[in-house]
Amino acid sequence: MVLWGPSTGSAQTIRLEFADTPVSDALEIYAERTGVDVVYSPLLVESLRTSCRYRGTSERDALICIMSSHPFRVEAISRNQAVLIPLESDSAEISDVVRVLSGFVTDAESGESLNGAHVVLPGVGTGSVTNEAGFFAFPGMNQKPVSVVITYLGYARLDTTVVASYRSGSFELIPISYQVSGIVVEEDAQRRADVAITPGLVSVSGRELQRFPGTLGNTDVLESLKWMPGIQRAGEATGGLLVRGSGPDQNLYLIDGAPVYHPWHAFSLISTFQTDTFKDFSLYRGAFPAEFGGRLSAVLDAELRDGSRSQPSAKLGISGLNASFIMETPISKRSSFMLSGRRSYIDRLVGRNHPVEDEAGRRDTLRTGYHFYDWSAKYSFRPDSRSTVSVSWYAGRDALDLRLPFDLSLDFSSWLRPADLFFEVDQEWGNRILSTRYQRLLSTRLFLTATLFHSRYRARENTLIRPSQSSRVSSAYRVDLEDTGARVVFDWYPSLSHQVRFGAEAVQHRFDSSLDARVAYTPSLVEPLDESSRTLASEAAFFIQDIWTPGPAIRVLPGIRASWFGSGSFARLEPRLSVQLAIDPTWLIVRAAASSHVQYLQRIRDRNAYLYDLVSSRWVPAQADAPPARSRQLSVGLESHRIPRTVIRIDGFVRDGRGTLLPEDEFQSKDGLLGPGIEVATLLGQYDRGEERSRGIETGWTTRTEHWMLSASYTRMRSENRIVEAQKAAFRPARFDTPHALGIVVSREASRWNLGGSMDWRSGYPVSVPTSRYQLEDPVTGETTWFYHRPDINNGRLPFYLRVDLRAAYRFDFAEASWLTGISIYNVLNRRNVVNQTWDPARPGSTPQNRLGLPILPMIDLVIDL
Amino acid sequence: MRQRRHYIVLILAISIAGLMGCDSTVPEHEPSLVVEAWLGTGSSLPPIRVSTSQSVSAELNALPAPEGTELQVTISDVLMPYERGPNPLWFHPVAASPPVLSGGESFNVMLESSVGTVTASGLLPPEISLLEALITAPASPISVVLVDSLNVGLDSLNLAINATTGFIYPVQVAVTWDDDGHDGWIEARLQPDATFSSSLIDFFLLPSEVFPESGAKRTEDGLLRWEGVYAVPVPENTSPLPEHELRVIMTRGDNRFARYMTSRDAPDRRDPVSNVNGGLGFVGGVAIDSLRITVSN
Repeated sequence: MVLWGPSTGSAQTIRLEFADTPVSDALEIYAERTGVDVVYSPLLVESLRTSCRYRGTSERDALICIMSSHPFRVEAISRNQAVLIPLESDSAEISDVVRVLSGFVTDAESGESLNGAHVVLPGVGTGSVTNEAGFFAFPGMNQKPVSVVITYLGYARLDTTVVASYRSGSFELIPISYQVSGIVVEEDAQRRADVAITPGLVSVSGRELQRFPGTLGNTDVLESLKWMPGIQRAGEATGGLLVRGSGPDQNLYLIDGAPVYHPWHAFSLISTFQTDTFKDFSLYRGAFPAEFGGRLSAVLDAELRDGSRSQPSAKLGISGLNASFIMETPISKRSSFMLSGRRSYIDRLVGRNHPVEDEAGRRDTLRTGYHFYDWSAKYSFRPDSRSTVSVSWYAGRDALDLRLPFDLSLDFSSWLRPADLFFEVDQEWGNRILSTRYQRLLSTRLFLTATLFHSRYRARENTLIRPSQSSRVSSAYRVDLEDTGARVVFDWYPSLSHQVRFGAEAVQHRFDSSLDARVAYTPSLVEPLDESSRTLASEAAFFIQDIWTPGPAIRVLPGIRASWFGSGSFARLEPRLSVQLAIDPTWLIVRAAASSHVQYLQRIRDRNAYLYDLVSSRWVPAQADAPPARSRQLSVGLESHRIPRTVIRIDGFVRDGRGTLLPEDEFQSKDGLLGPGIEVATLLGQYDRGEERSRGIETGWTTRTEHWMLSASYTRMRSENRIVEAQKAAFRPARFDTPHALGIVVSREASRWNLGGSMDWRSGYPVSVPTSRYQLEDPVTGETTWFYHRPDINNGRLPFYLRVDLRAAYRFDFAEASWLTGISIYNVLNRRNVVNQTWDPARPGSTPQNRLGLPILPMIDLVIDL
Repeated sequence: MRQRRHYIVLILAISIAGLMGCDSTVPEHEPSLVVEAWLGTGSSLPPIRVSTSQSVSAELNALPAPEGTELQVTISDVLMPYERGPNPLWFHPVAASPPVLSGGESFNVMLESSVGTVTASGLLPPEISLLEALITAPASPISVVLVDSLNVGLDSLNLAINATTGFIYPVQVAVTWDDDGHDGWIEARLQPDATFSSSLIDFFLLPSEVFPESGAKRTEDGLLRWEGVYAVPVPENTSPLPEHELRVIMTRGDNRFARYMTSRDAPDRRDPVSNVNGGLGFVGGVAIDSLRITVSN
């Protein structure tokens, strides 16, 4: 319980004078003059009047003055909020009136709502999790004081007593700062594990996620999430997220409710999710609730920061890859704004344009430009205490612009000369989203969230290659995918044992692409390829789910999602069910889930052509010859908080999928310039319908103390697939099948030094190993060629992967700012991991040629907090 | 206490077994028969090459099929006996004057050996007749980049590092043949003297192509036409076009032939897509015609 101590008094003088004034009016005047919001039941005070005179600096004493003649106890629940609690001896008849205990949980410093905070009523034996607006509700409460405990990772625990009333309360959590002493750190271990119900859910604040390693000195959400059990990156330092053996395109990425189709920069080295910019993240692994759909494997639901409601702040950062900033400010008492930006600067160091001239006076301008950037902005407006309007905008882009001589060498100086034979590459790809969200507490039992969004992924590739004086290759390729949609979600709290969420969404997808390519082998032998396509597809879905608490130890989350997809008129039902049994709230929680998921859009790549597939991810809608993919998942998990400050999780899962697209010829790689074109039917012709299955056990151990964090995860998993059309085809290891994965993160955060280390050990990825060698003759020339025979796909495995990273950062104050400078050492062991293998059949022996990963890389970064 | 220790040992044992579970299986070599039979329309029964795949660590010498291997070839349900020749890699027709194969005939090839049984079958396509080849070359050589591949992908932009420049004559060849209505696949190939051929420069030229016959260009006379370009490297930009022999080869086959021919040019990445049941290699019916031309300045 937080007591309102005398030290919290305002320095300003408070003047109050009431004479036979209704208490409700007096409290309103009090709130205006002190800024302290008073929570009370209007029913209890409607007939009360007060006479009081106060002059002083204590907010508590001022409130006591108002209520001194009435049987109420005054108690603070945060720095600027107090509650009036009727004394026990008060009227028994009104204490039986049924009320709803509801409220909003916010960050005490910034005022931002906290999504996913645990709200527990220990005396009642129930709990809940706040929604995206930080709202919670417990209907069916009487008006007796109730003890409320609110916890959220990275924030101090709030322990208070409130009374259910007509009004929703506001509960502020104080973020943990290691520079502030005297704050008791709330550990995840002390959170009530039985409050969350979704198995596999990772709900974490941006503040907390920063304790996990990022990429090369950058904080990066997707890189940090890979330290969670069952999650990995596809490449060494690049590649999409793989969740429980899924493919990278089976995850849904949402920013404030709008989908992001290609959330990567720098050829997937870092993601568009910059940790500082986001308030919180919810990653649903596997069995996600019915409110989400459209993907088979996982959902990352990220919320941009609202912007501080209390005071302006700014943070500047620079790392080896990019420079960034984030600024937040209150605009008025009811509105706030956040703006962040990030840009790489390698092109500024190297230069983008290089005018060159040779001895003969020939001039040219070579280009070596590459950069990426992100802009994020959010404006939040609270017209009243029951509603919020926010507008979120994100734009990110990568741009590569090269014009270089063809016969370049590793000697950089040799590049800078005029050349007749050159290549030009001009590529851009990026996402842009606009999301508008309206949240309103319609009544104490009904909460509305409405979202309008527009999301666009656009890639453009222009190439000009002049390999000889008489030949020329040019292409202009463009891919656009636009989503425009609306989503309406209601949270309804009919009783203490039911929390119902229902809603609907509709999305219009638009797919555009065009290709204009020319290959001129000679001036008179030209091969053109000119194609374009446009497809529209509508998607609609309705869902309903209920968190049903039939007893104090058991929770059930049934749900169903009905969806319809227009381009092929597909209708699908996706039932979901999660069950949670709290054998003991801290000792052991058992969770199980069964769910079905449908994916209407799948990502494919051209497997033949060089010219128009460098960066573009082609998303294609479900259609007659590529019906929607479907997956089912069954998972069982245990969670224990038995050991102090420690959370132990064990999850087992089994999943299968049908209708995913697998390459028809796994060994087909790009060997032509033009290829077969970009018609969707042609591209789909390079794929077959596949089946996939995976199963595994994920274990996680997390210990947090005030300064230390140890997080270890081990995953034992197999993922396999096969082509359906291939008769009796056996399941084979999937491209990223990883039987063993162990990740360990250790960090220590103190007032000055932040130290951290991480270890990533996993099985090597599968590789198709030749088992024999044979010779073939050319039917025309009689020339013989040796070939390796690879009877099975992914029949071998690369050597295991091991990488250790270290980081040290020092915090200091200088020029009225807080500085944090750090050094990150990537691959401190300098172990050159094998990331691919090839075999040359014409060489004796069977030793593969190894392609090695990145060596040791030190990176320096600096963050200035203004 | 002892019981608890037993539990701990048991848990440790299970954990270690799980951790050390053998996931990295080492694939084992199983020998397969490799058959190469090109049954040509208008040609007599060809010799057939039969070998055995060998361990990846073995010497680079083709391994003949095991002793006792028997080869049976059936043409339109008529059995054509074969026997192993002096070169153990080759099987030859027993008949002194083997019959000439005709378009439309069916064939069936079966091999039996201790390694296993291999079968393949198909149809012979109609004959193809090249009518004309028109050759064009520039008056002087041109500068060209010598590069054999574009190593471009999501993970790398390693575009032609360490490529060099040189000089070539790009020689353009237009070939025409009769349209007999057959809807098959064609492999067109320009085969200059071997000394001139270079994969380094072929990448941006068109010395060969596999395409569906229905997609071929037509001349005003209703003939089918294909154009390709091959390179003749020369040492300097003033060098004349060296006189050389060029063979223009047109091979007609079915879609399995096309698949095989387009998948056999990357031995480091893959083996060709075989149409042989139970073995490797290719058994196909093809129709081949070629022109031999002397190209000079």
